[in-house]
Amino acid sequence: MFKRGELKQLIVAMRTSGVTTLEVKRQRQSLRLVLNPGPSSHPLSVEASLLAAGDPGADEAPETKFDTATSPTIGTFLSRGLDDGLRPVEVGMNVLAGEVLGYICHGALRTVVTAPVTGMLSDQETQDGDALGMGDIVFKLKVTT
Amino acid sequence: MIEILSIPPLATVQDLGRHGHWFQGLGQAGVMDGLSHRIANLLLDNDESAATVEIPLTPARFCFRRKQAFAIAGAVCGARLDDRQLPAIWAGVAAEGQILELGGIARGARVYLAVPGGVDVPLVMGSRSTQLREGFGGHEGRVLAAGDCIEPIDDTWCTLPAGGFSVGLPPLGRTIDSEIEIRVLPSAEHDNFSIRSQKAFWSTPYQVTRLCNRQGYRLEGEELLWESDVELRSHGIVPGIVQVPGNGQPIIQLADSATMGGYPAIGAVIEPDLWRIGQARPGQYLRFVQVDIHEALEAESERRDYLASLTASLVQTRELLRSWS
Repeated sequence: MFKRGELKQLIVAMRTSGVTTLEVKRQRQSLRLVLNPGPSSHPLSVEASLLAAGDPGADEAPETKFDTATSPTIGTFLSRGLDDGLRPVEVGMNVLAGEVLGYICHGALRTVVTAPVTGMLSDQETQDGDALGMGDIVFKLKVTT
Repeated sequence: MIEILSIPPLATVQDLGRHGHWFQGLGQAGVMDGLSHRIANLLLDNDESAATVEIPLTPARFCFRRKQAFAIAGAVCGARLDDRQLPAIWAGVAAEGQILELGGIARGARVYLAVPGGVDVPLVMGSRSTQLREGFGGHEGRVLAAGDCIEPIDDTWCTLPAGGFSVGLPPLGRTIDSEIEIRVLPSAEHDNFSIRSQKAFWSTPYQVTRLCNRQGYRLEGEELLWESDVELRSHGIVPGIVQVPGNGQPIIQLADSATMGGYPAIGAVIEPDLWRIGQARPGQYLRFVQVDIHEALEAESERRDYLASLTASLVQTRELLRSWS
């Protein structure tokens, strides 16, 4: 969390300002500095302890958000990358918001399924040829922005 | 309005051609790939004859100066709308300021860009096609260049889903790199070629050379020998005619073909397969398949049914989208 030199600077600042206890918390780490009071001629003694992660008051990890790419119409699913000039998609791939993920076919017509957000494809919920209705989930995405 | 930021030469405005003037020595011009042109128009609910921009060379960049629908169809060229990759065939809406980029062509030979109502250029002798040789029609009778603007005839457009529409084209050949089968009717002079030449024409592949353009494609393969003492006078020819000049290497006359020619012809490509030639690149092989008039009409009927089926799917899907919005 702090280098040795930075700790020394903190201690000097505490001594100068008369602060005897300092607690710093960042994400999963915490630092508590306690200066033992005494005449300035006495050497300083510092207690520093790293508090465990999960300590009350520590910053919590950001929540992972998910979203879904859904079918915009009725038809059968067709993967991207078969004959459209695009690279096939696969779970684990990063995609941009609005990117083509696949198609819902009605005869020769294909209605495009797009990524609702920028993220990583975490699950594919359908296979080529599956019949889908409007709103059926095609992909799940882990939101990265 | 779409402003052309950069484009290689040879892109022109074309529709389905200028018909009815052959007897005056004026060729039909028109698109090289009628199928992709029609699909791009259908996706925007245009009449199939609405003018599009035919782009035979890339890369090219366009800027949408206002929000507008558009469609692309034809060759696979890594098309992007800003940072979003598009399939080879796509119709959707671009926001003002967005950039459409067509990258290097990986498969096929021509990309078609359609706009609502068709490209707004003057109607000349019943068509909006560019007659390059004659210097009229299309956009000022010339190829398009950076700085030119593509205006749509219509300011509004049909219902399009947020992600857009696409279509799967029939494959050019059996596999991506395989020969392209072209269905051909034997022509009037077919039987005057040597038996060996007839067999070679129908059984061996012919490679598209670099000498290919809108007027015609020169091919290279087994030599074809004309075995008649009769000297042919110049006679009317049409796009699709496979002529054989003195060197024995065939030439397929295409959209900007001359109206008359004196070379003997061994066959005529059926009209529903001309699009395959329009999407063939130098180095690819064509293999001619003999058909009769009934098979040719059946092929025409199949194409008509395919486009009718696509139209029906579009109507139904647009209706559904409107009812849900």
